[in-house]
Amino acid sequence: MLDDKQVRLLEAVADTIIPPDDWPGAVKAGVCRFIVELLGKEEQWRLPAYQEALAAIDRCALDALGLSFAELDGPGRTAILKMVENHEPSAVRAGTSATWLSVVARHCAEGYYADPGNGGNEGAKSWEMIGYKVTA
Amino acid sequence: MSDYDVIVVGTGAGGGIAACVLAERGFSVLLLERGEKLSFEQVGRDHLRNQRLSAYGHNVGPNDGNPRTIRNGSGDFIALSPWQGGYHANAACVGSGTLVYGAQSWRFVPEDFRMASVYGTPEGSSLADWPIDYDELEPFYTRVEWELGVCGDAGANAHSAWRSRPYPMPPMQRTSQYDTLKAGADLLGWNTAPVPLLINSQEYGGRPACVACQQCVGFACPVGAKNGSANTVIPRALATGRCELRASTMVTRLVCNNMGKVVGVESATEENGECRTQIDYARKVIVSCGAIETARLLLNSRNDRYPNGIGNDFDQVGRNLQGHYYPGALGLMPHDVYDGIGPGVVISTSRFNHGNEGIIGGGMIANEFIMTPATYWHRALPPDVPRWGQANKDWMRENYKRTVHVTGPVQEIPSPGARVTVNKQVRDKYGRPVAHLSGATHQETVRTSQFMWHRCVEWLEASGAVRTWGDPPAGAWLSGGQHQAGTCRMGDDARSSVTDRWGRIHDQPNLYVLDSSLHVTNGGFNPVLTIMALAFRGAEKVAAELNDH
Repeated sequence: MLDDKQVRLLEAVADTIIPPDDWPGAVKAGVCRFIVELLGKEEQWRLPAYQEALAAIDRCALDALGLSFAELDGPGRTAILKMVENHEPSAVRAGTSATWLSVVARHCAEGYYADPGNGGNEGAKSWEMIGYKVTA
Repeated sequence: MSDYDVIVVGTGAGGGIAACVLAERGFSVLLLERGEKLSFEQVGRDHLRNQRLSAYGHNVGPNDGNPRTIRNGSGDFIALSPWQGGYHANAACVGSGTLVYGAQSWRFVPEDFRMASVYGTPEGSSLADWPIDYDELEPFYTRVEWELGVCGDAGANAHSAWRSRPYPMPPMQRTSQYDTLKAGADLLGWNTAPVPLLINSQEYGGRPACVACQQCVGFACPVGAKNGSANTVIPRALATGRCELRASTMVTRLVCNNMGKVVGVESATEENGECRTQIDYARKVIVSCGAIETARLLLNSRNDRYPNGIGNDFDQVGRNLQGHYYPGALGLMPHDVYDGIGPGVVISTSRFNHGNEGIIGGGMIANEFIMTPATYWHRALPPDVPRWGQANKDWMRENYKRTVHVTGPVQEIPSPGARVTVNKQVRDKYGRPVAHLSGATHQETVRTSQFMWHRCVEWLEASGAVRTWGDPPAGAWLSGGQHQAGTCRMGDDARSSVTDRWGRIHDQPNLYVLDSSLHVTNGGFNPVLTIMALAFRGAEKVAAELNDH
């Protein structure tokens, strides 16, 4: 499983993917709990890639901005993920993966927008945000 | 000596009706189903594992141990799990897909039964006329509508054929999407109609009215207002006391006498972790497993007299596999068009099913069911919207309620090379060769789909969309993931068809197919009402034969 440090890093990434504003960000909505569960079930095969990609994100942040990813502010974190997405030199040197970023973005969205029974979307807040309501 | 008058294999749209008709006519029926009987709670409401979005699995089977294979790029094959794309799954549970379907209940139109006569047969295609016409099926369409329960507005659709009775229930209530798209269609001069549904718009048949929830297609109904075989015809069959329903039972082989004629079935029943094999005999056997599994069962039942499989002397079983291409487009409206009234599919046009200059066939277009937020994120975002960051969250917040999706099934131009065979190198958990899917639709299907995609965009723009997105289909592939059909087509010539005009396998006095496998062509409509009408008609024929002998 992910260790504590990896979970902190995942939380920083998740809150960059779905940032808090008037409505909960990914972490508050339980997205990381959802992802950790998923990595123990159907997506277990992705666990090594997750661990490697998280380490690479940190290397990229240190190389490009001189801080570990979790230490960066919001704009800094967004800048790093953009580097990953665009295959920029710092990202390539650090061995990050744009493919992984698209996977973790999908996992975050699933945790955030799926039914609360999946472990995320706490209090169905995302549904309230977009105007979807289950009446029966 | 037979154990039963009739064995019916499969409890979906075709099998449920066949069992009901025959049990009510006084015959003893054994009804077999590979899946379990599932309650509403067992089906659940998992937005990531359902029959509409199967990100990590699905909710009504089939489950692991039932792989299929497809060809990969290098000419080899790969095995797929039932919930993966390319598998072409039909639900495996009592009621099959009718437990969780969207329940659109369209009649085909007369041209759909005469495609070759109307359009000619394109080179490389197996486009053909049905051996029966609309008029012959009409009484059975009516019977489905009244016995199971369909809501709709019979007078509204200017492009539908004659009918002997109106719908038994009025259409579902109108929504803001209805009003928005109606205004656009009016500007274009297109006729529209409420979508007919096998759903109770009011109390009917002892079952309550729809509660307009937001989790319809892909899920079971919380109140039983969705009319599938599990809550209509199967209870009727069981109430006679003459129908025995055996679930969790996979039919592995058709059993033949020494003349090679089918006299029963071999099945495997799973109970308490154990698998029990047995053989049951009947005077008539009806196979209703869906287009892929019906073909597979016939091919897996080869014997000395029929070394290529039952009904396959002319290499026709499993060919012409077809379903539906679904061209569609999404539009962003200047205002909210979401009022939370389910199921959501409510307005349609049949203006383009036929009569399109230079195009073979066409299709119906309707607005989409309410999408769960997770499904929207997966399928409905414009390509240029970032998949992460504030912009993605903003899009979801501002535009989920402003998005309209129009789409519809395109009449497939069948290809004989699109087919089901069996793969002896890969076995299911019962040890039987699995279905192997190969080939692709005819290029004319792609051309018609592109034409229909333009009509979808046109409708959205006329309805006020400030932007539209979604690509037209490009390329030919297998389309049986939606509405699989065609693998045991009916016909009068045994060399170019698998069954006669009633669904009886040529050269087999007692073996019938009653499901979408019979469809010579699959219409430009959701096909379930046609499957059901053919089942009523075919089952009455079986009953008449049993009475005669």
